[in-house]
Amino acid sequence: MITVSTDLPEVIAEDRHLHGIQARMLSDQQLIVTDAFGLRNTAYHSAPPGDDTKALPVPATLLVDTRGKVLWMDVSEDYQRRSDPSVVLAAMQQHFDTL
Amino acid sequence: MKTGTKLGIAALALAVGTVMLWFHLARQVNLPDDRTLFVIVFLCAAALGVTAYVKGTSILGAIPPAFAMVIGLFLPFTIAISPQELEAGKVIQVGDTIPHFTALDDQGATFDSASLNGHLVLIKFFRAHW
Repeated sequence: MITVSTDLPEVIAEDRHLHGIQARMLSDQQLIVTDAFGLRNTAYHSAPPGDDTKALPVPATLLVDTRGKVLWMDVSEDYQRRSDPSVVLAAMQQHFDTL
Repeated sequence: MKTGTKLGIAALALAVGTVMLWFHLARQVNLPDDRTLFVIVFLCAAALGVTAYVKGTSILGAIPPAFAMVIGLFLPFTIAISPQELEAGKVIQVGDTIPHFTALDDQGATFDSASLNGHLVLIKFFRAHW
């Protein structure tokens, strides 16, 4: 599992232990990875003072197979509304367990 | 206690109570699709704060309605700006191969997506820690 956000590496490292995340957590402040996936949010951008990002990724989850092919994806239409984790787990069971 | 002060305290209680419910639901990934009721309650808290000033508060009593108005207006603002938009034609689709990319991880080490070959991968894009 990998995660991508605009947080700087040191910020991710600070907060990582709070959630017990085992993933490789990537820093994408310039949105290079986000843009490579076409996931930049082009709607209204807001960030707290002190945050320099010009835009943010649309919250999204992708399941990818061993050859790099996208099997499933879930993209938030609204940053306050995300899919329940059970939706992702169900997708993993459906797509990963059959491989 | 002046009427306005009482109203101000009520306004703050309403705003804080609603915001606590909001974050409780958000933590459970369970905010409702339709947040209109939240918006109405928040705006009522803000309006109650304004009314508190109109009725007249003590000096200390002027503080709760100020907070009520900030909370009552800020949350509806976040709701208004929450819709996400992607640039059509650019977003990756199911069936596409993911692009090759490199990035720094939280330890400052370089990550190369070539290392994902041969693995089933879950990639999660999120905004930021806040």
